[in-house]
Amino acid sequence: MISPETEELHQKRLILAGYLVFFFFGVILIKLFYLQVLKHEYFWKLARQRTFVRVAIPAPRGRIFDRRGVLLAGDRPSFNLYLDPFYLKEREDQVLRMLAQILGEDFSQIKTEYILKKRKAYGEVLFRRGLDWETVARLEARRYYLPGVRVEARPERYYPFGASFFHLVGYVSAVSRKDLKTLREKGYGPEDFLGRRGLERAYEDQLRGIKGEKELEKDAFGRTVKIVKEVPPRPGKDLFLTVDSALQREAYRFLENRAGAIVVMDPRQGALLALVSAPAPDPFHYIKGFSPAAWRALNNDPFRPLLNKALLSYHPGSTFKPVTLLAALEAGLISPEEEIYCPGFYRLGRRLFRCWRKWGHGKVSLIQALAQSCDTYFYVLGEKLDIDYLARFARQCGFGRPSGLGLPGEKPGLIPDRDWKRRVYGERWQKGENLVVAIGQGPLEVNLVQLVKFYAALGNGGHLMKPFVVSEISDPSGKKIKVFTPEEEGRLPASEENLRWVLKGLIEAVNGKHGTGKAARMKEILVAGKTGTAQVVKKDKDQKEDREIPYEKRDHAWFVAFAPAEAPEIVVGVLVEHGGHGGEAAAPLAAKVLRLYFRGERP
Amino acid sequence: MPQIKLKVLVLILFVGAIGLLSLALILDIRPPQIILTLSGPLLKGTSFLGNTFREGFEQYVYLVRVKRENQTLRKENEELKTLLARLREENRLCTRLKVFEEEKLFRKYPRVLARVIYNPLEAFGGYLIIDRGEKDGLRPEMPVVSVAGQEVGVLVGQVVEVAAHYARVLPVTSPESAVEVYSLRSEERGILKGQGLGRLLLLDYVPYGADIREGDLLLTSGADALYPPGIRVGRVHKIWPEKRQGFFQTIKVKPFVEIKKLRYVMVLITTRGFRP
Repeated sequence: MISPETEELHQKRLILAGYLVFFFFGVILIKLFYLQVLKHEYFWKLARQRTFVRVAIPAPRGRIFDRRGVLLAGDRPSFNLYLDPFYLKEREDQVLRMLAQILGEDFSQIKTEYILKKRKAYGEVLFRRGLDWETVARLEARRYYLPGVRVEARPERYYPFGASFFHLVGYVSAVSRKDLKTLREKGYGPEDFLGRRGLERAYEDQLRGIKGEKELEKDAFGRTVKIVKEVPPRPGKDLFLTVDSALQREAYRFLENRAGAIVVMDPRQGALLALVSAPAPDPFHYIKGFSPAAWRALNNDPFRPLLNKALLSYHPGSTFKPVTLLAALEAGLISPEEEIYCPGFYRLGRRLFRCWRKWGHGKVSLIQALAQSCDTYFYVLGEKLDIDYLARFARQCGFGRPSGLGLPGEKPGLIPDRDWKRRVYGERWQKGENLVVAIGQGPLEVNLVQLVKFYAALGNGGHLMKPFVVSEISDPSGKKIKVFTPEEEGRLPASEENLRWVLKGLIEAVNGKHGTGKAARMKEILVAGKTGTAQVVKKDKDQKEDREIPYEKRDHAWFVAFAPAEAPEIVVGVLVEHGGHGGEAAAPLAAKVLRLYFRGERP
Repeated sequence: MPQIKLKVLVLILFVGAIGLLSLALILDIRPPQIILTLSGPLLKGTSFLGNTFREGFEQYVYLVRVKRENQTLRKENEELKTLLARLREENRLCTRLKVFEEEKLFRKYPRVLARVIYNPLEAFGGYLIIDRGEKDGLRPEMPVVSVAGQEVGVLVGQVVEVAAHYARVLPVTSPESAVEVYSLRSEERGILKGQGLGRLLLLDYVPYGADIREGDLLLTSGADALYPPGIRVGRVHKIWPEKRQGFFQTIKVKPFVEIKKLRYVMVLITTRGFRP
């Protein structure tokens, strides 16, 4: 039993405890009122002030090396200056004035530039690219006074050899708004760069790395308060090429003041040693940006520097003659010993087909027909050949389809046949067209890489090797991810004996008394080759001298050679756009490449 | 009433007796032996009481005086101790300043000595406040070096805001601070960025393959046109990771300055201008 006194005591304590609880709640309530109502403004600002920002860290792009490990394309840091209009809003003039002082420029100019750039950009404004170290140091030391101003080191593509590798390696440029629509899901942002041409484009997925991310806490002034999280970027994979950078650079130099292409290949493997198209712009301009005038000049240049001439298709001219010859030999339409008389023309019905030598070659054998590039000999073969058979044969020699090199923008060329004529023109194939195709003219088109590939097969005993330029892909630590090995696509559809006949003709073309490719002759090494002069427009009856013909109507000059003829180590293909005669314009360039390769001579 | 009368009578008798006795003693009248024998103990008791009372009183008075004196002395002692501490401090400051003179540190620049009146506690956004300001010739962008509290003449930071008699100093440890430095050993350059109080500094923009080793002494190079060349900033503490990621190495640097211990600093009056 509890006595009434005790009960009363308990009652009192309970009330006291109640009061106490109420009191503390009261304290909390008052504090709450203070924080939520009285200090509302203050805390709201504070919360706004500290914002979290995510910044992407760009990944360095994979590097590209030549066969000896010489760097052809790599990244170097470029210090860029970014302005953030959001944080600059109220202090714009003050900050820009200081910026002008640091950059040593005029304030009003800077202000106009900023306003213009702000209008174009969404979010941060990229204000300056490639700041020098001194400026970076000055800006960084004054970060406190420059809210909304940020210096960041971004990877910038760097091509040590500039224009000479432009068409092979390609270039990168910023992702455009148009690209972004399709590329956003692949993780590209407006600040990223994209491989646009050559290997940069072909191997875009391997070369680009994986972006990193940095989470920053910022205050109301845009100053970084804390780095919350940092995920480092993963650099892209490196490419190792089969190309010899010294050969490539010299080859580009050989084409100085000319428009054309040189392709050098190892016929035993199909590995490219050089692939040059000239002239070419410096890839660095694409990163810096062109001025409208420079861009216009580049596009209107008659030398067409933006096109990769090694991958464009042209009429092959006489360089196609070995194909016609092999096809005829295989079909048994002519025996190797047979001689044909060339009076300087060939008559088919009422049409007269002229040999390039107006006064004719007289009696020509197979070897001399190749060596002197007698058109009449091949008109005869052309008349005998069925065009569908010739087309099939040419396709088996690697023409009419991409060479397999895998570079973007390659034109597969055109091997005409009856079906093609019907499809495109709705007309029947004319016999006269046979003759034109037989000497490498008419609708027939091939590219330089296909020709080089075919000549490599002529030299190596009929193995059609798939050309390749990337030998290895490896990750940045040097671990090999993929190694490319030589691949045989097939064999030339010709017997060994017939191949030997053609080879003899090609040797004679360079070493013979009347050979058209004498300019490529070497003393100590036996060179085999074939010239080509491809007509661009139909010539008038009374041919003018080359100098009187306008540039864009002059003939294209071809020359393809391999050496040593018996066991070739390299194949050189030269195309000089509107260069005139193959023997005069193209063969000397091939000779320079051969001399450089065999003698290490640098003229 | 007779009761009261009796009591008064006894009292008068007692006082009378004592009075007589005292009179006898004062006049040196030898009282008869018997009286002496009788009054002896009484006198003894009286005299004991008197002495005790007197002595106690005297002792009390004395104690009060001692206490007061004690207080005075203690106060004096305190004052002396403070003075001593201040003199020691001043002495130390003087020796530090002497180091400045002897080692010819920053002789090119006029200097202003300032006391740190606020050391930051918060890791981020922490600024120092010093007791000199615009009136003493201080302006933003003026470099600040240490005087007392640790090693002499190491970089503290820069003045960022000035009031008439006070200035705010941005220490090198602040995330807003960046200083261009070079390694004394290899001359490799980089930009030293603050990561917050109590954290190591980050040496940024040093490419892979650059010759920076742990223990390298880092000095300001002057390329930023803010900090004069040759001020010691810190030592390379750790380099990691070795693997290529991005362009730059991650290099952590231990600053010489200890912001929390800083008491006196020297502000270098550099003329404003961006060209070094």
